[in-house]
Amino acid sequence: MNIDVRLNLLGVLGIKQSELTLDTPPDATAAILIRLIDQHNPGFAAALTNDDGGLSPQFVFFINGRNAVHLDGMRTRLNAGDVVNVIPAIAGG
Amino acid sequence: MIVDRPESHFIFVVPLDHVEYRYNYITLRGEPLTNKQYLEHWGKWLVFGLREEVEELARKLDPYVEEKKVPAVKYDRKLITEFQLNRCVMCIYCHDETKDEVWEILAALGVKDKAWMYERETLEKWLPGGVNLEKWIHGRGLDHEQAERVRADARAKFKKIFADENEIFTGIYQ
Repeated sequence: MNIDVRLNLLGVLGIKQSELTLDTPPDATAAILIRLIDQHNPGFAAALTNDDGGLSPQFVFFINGRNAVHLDGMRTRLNAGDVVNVIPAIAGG
Repeated sequence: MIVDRPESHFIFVVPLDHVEYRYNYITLRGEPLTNKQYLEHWGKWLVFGLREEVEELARKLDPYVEEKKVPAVKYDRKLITEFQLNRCVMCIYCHDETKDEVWEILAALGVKDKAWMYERETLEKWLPGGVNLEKWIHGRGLDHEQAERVRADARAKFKKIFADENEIFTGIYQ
């Protein structure tokens, strides 16, 4: 299934591809998507993951506009056509 | 109307009524929010762009703000270099019960990035231990004593503003 990914304001991570459409397995989670994004942008997964394997508070991972920490964090299931936006936490106003 | 005060980092789009008659736009269907309701329900759609892009969007949103279909908008006057962001950030504020209606307006104006954030999330980031305040302290190179003073000020300011959860929220000067 296809997931559209937009990585905003992540110059600090040296992002190479900021807009991606990724083909994920049907049971993909946020964690799986982050690993797929990392294949296009090495270092992305390390930056997005905190010491206990959760989402780093330094970034905000939105799925269809909703912050994934208010869903099921790394375990949030993705659905075909979902749109993911990732921004640094500092950009939240 | 677009309110551009040179002393502020932010440029605002607020109803003329707010500027002339102190109309409180932090409402749900005309009812002002209490501090508690503000922390629970008030938030914003985030939009990112170059200064000229967010300015153009601000001009397009202005009529919706006057019609009170969009409560208020705020955007960066310039890039914040300390934070290494390469885009200005625009916040389009509303109550979470009306966020889908506001999103439809944004989508019709060409906004693609969909990112909703509650104000409480932003405020938490600017409290001691929050990622933004700690990054700001680090970026300024403050010593331990200065950093502690900044943290204490942030804590005191938050406590003062939200001391009574049933008071009408009156805003934070920026």
